[in-house]
Amino acid sequence: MVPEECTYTKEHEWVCNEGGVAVIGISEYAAVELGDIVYIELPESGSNVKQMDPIGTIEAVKTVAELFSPVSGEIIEVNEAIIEHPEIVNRDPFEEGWFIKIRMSDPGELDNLFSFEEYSEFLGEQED
Amino acid sequence: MAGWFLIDDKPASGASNMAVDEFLLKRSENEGGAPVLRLYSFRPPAITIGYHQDAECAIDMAAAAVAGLDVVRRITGGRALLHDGELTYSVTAPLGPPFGQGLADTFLAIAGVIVSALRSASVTAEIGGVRHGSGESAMSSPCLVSTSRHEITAGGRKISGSAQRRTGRAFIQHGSILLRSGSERIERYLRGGWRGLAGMITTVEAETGEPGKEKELRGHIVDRFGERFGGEPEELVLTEAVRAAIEGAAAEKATEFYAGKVER
Repeated sequence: MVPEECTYTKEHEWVCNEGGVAVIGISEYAAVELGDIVYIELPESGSNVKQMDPIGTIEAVKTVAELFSPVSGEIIEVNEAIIEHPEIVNRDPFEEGWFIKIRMSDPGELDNLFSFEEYSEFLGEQED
Repeated sequence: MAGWFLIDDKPASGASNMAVDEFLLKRSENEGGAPVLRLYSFRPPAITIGYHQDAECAIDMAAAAVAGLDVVRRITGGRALLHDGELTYSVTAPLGPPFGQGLADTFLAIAGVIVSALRSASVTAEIGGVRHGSGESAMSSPCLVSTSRHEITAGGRKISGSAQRRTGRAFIQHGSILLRSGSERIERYLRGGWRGLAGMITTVEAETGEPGKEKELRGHIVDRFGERFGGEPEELVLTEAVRAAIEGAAAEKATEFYAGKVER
């Protein structure tokens, strides 16, 4: 995954389009801000979701954050490794720590998300 | 529009208290609006567990039942806590001003209010400053052992802890302020043979030598919250219909979600 080629949500998720399949994870900013992640709850493969549907939760030591689907489509794969070992997400949120893959029903929805540059600007505003 | 709302609530059961807070979070998520500060306590005393904790693994449910304790699940993170001799607060609000967008901003803004209120009640409180360093991360360990960045201490011992849940547009922060002894008894109900919690925590009563400061502390929290977040509060009155719906949810969830014995 190349960060500059991915899109992002204001909920700090990243989405990489791999031939119509959206690979989804959380940004390094989110992983650092949450701190040590202790539990991840994700949906089963095979379920259909709409853009911004809740798809799970992620718990750090003191915080439960809800996850939302950045795109619509069918969930075709869930990263079981991060369910068994949530610390992977803290260590490598962009590669090994991906969350789910969704076969997109409308890739045009990616246009609603931040580009890499827009997300970087958004993070700058958060820190002001 | 009100700057913020206050619910200075009466003691209630674990399921009722959690159902009210869940309602407030949904309200913030769906309707936005001004922040809500809710102050409350538990009757009977209750153990709340973190959202992802496995109740049977963390708690000796039979021993808790014999002692007459509710065991209920929070929607927020963190670990098990016995609500006895303490004051609980919840803050629900849309993400963004006046709390900031980020997680740390929110924790720090609210911790600042609680520290100021404790100081007004003659407790020398500060953010951080925990002298013991358990570093314990086991999901069965008690909430009060945890030493996260925004915990509130007095004399190097924890006096208040907090946990959050964040949705797409809103957050809720739960916090517990230890008024007198009671919460340390959770060791009796935790699996894993926890001991020594009493030496890691302190209470308002222990720090001031004065019992019965709950009402005074509630007043200080309201005053400091207003100074920080927007003046005099408006009382948030939950209509009979809303209360009835909340109680319905509480009754249902007391035997499902909150009992910790079934699927979340």
